[in-house]
Amino acid sequence: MDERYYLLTFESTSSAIGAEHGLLPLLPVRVMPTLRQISASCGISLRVEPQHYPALERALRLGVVAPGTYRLYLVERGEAREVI
Amino acid sequence: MTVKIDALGKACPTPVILAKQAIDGGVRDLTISVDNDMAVQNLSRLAQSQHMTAQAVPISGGFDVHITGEGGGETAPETVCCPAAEHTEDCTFFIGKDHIGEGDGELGRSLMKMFLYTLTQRAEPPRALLFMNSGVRLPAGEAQIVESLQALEKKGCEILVCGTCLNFYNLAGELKVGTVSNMYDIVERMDAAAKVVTV
Repeated sequence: MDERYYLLTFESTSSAIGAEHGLLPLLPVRVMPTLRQISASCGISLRVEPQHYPALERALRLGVVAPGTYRLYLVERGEAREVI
Repeated sequence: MTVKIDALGKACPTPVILAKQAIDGGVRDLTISVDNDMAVQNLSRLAQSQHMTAQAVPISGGFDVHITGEGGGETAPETVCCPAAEHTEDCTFFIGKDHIGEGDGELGRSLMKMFLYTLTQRAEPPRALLFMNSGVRLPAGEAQIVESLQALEKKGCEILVCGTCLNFYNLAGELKVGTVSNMYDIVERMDAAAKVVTV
């Protein structure tokens, strides 16, 4: 309940699997089911711990994950808030 | 003064036990936070049996149940436990491959990762996870899966891994979590389980 982490959700399963392959060499990510409260087309999400957020931000800026295929959320105490 | 009890994430019947202890200790104004409907129902029954009233208010991630009144009941009602918690606790999973379902292998491996992650998020772990055939690649493989299995083991879930299968896949020296086991032990665990689910 006290957990705090970043969550990438995707529009398609292939985007999610592709993002995992792209990000794993750069930072630790964990595959998890998309939270029930988030409506996304794909049930696979990627969890990133807060200490790895700078690496995630860099990777997203470099286009490691295709822009427009994902949404980024901050999850705190079970509540997800989209990060712009 | 209102006494507050945080029972979020507590498995059934813990919330009712905590509330009953407080009432028995003389508390007549109590707020207990719980995260499931079954706990709300159990607390309402407890309040009724104690000649008190219960009111549930939705909060983020669950409910605050306010119990107030003069008290004075003698016995607590029978607690009906959450089926989900009992189900996982009494369950043993037999994992005979390194992916879930048939079809695309990559999707199946992602589903397996999510399945094991989801087990770690539940209040109660399964009784045991039994790995055979290509399923033994999981406790000898990827970091995320090993972390999930370590978390489950820490919560009390027994993890048995078929030694014959590890030898077959040349993974004998690669096991990162769990205990190398044999058919006798694995069949024994299946026998002892209330329910065995093949993944």
